[in-house]
Amino acid sequence: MKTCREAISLMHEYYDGMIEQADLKELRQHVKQCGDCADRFQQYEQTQAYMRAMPKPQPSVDLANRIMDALPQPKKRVSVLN
Amino acid sequence: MHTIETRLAKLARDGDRHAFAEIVDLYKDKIYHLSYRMLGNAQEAEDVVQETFIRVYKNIKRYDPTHKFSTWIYRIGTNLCIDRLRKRKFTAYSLDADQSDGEGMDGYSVLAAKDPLPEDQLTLSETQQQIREAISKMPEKYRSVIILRYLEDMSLQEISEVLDMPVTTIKTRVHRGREYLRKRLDHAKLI
Repeated sequence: MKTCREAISLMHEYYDGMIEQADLKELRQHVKQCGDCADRFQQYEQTQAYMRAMPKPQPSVDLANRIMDALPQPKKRVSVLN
Repeated sequence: MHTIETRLAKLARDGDRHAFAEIVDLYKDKIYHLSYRMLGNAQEAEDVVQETFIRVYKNIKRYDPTHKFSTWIYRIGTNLCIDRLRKRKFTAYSLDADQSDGEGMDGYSVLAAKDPLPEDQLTLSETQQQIREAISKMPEKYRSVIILRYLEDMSLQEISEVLDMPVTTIKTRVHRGREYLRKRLDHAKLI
């Protein structure tokens, strides 16, 4: 039986994508028996889901052209110190 | 590593501007997304994207093809964002303010960015606004790792390479950032 402190640490490992199978089993067991940890687990889950669902803003359509125009003109030889 | 980016980087290094234009096409949206989330401002995000590519172009000879190109370009973009955030903080706080720079939770209030995110064209749900607000108030050292982890879906190892910091540091920061977000989101409302 894990303590809540250990369980929370395992939750982080789970969301880091680095948890061991045996630890995951222990975490699941703990969460089944501890309401506070179950709530917390659920909240991390929601946080992650909402973060991942954030809309992806798009840059202006002419950004690529502006970038290419802003590049320094090619030189025959560029100094290493430049 | 023989990814398409490595091949393009080699061509660009030899002066092929079309190859460089392809690199721009591959990464401009990604770096824009990163910068937009870091800075919360469309104009500044575009400036960072532009600056990132100029740096990539000028330093392409220094790119080491045994490393992932994406790590390299993300490092340049992330550092430019962090520089901007630090400059903002520098102007926002007086010099005599007692600032702790440790990893402790106490640093949150002191390090939180003061300026709210300006409005933009995106229409966000209430939940999304809450998240955006939470990100904007998050101290820079947590913000960068959380954005790379959740929005760019990088592993802790990749984040450690991008930020050039030990994985253990990244781990601590991701955990604190995750906890920061959890505490600030109104979960009762989200359900």
